[in-house]
Amino acid sequence: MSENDNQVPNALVRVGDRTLAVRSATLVKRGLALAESLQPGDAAAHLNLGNALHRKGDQDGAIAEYRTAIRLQPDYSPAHFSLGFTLMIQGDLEGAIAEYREVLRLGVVSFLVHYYLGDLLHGKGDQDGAIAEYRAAIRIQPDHAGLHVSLAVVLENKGDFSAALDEIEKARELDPNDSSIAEAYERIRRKAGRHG
Amino acid sequence: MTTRITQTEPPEARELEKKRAELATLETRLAERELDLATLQAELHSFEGIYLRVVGFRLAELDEIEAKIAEAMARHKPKDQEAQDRASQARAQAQDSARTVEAEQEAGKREPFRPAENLKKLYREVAKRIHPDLATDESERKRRHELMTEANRAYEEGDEARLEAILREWESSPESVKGEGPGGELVRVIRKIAQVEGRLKAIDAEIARVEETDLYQLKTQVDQAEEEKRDLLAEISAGVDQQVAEARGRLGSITGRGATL
Repeated sequence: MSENDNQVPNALVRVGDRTLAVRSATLVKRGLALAESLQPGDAAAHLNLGNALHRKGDQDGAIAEYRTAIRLQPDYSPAHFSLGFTLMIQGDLEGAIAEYREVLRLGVVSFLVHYYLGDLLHGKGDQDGAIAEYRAAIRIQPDHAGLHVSLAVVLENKGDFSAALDEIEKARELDPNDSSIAEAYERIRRKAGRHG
Repeated sequence: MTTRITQTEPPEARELEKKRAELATLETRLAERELDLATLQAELHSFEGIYLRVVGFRLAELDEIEAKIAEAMARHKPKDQEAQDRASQARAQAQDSARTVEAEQEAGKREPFRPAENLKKLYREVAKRIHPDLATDESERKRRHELMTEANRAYEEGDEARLEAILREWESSPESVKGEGPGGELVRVIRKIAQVEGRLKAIDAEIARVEETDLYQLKTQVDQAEEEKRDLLAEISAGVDQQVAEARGRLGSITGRGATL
């Protein structure tokens, strides 16, 4: 704006602020673009803020922001997913399950959602539910060793050692160097042999 | 029988009275508009400082990471001129952003500008009495301009004592006293009216220009959001933080040094 000072006769010139305004112009323009992308009541703005709070460790603040995003846009699946994850790490299994199921109901195809759901259902003792979710995750991401291990462990707990052995074998093929998979394989193989 | 001698008022004296009244109205309006402009500038100045401290330094951090990414890509493709150019541009932007943020930090912390009513009243009085467009010659104009510049600074800093001192200084100066006959005075008042009208138009243009700036637009959005109980600067910061986290991840995957750079 400093050039304008010369165009206005007798303008009450204040040099310092105008000089700085020129220097910060680029940073201000970028801030304005971001602000304009965050319209009032924009769910994305609350999701972003929630994610920032989550990273800072303010989980309650993050949950509040995710819920606001969902209130503003009930079909906003990223907010349901983030809320589900935060509730999961806070130990609210029921809440997390509800959010992940909502993500799936909204048509999202994600092995991760099924994977987390499998873990949560397993944690609640719902073995059949966990098996169904792990299988759904594997259909989307068949080469994820961790999924086969999780499925094998639930099947093992359920006493279906033959199916468990199939799964742990797949995991071993995908990640032959993982010692914990190798140990699980030996254990399940022994059990499968005993019961087979 | 008494004889009454009626002294007819000269026409220039009547005209002078009318013009003085007109000038008085314009002076009041001028003081009000100068206050509007000074308040707008001071508000924007303090907002700019707050913005740079809250959002600006995050953008500067993002630019630094983006520059490192571009430089890593350029090292990876030493014969790719486009990659070299991108790296140079990204580094220039990062340096520019860093300089801006550092300049603000050196300027010290700023609070939102919220002038007290008494401060505004004093400023109006100063503008009304000292305004450069009320000068009748160049040397007086220069003197008024200097005092007005100082008054602007005092207003922005909320320094009531300084504004009062400026006013006292002016009242006791020879420029504040004028004695002329009605004819010369009329010419002087007419000239002042023209000058004040010119300045009023210039202030309107200046305010319109300020209102077109990105800084003003951004401040308006932040103020509107505040009325809705939203902290827009925090929301913008969160968006930038996310971009910073993503950029760190990209840089980590490129350099193979993990995401904690």
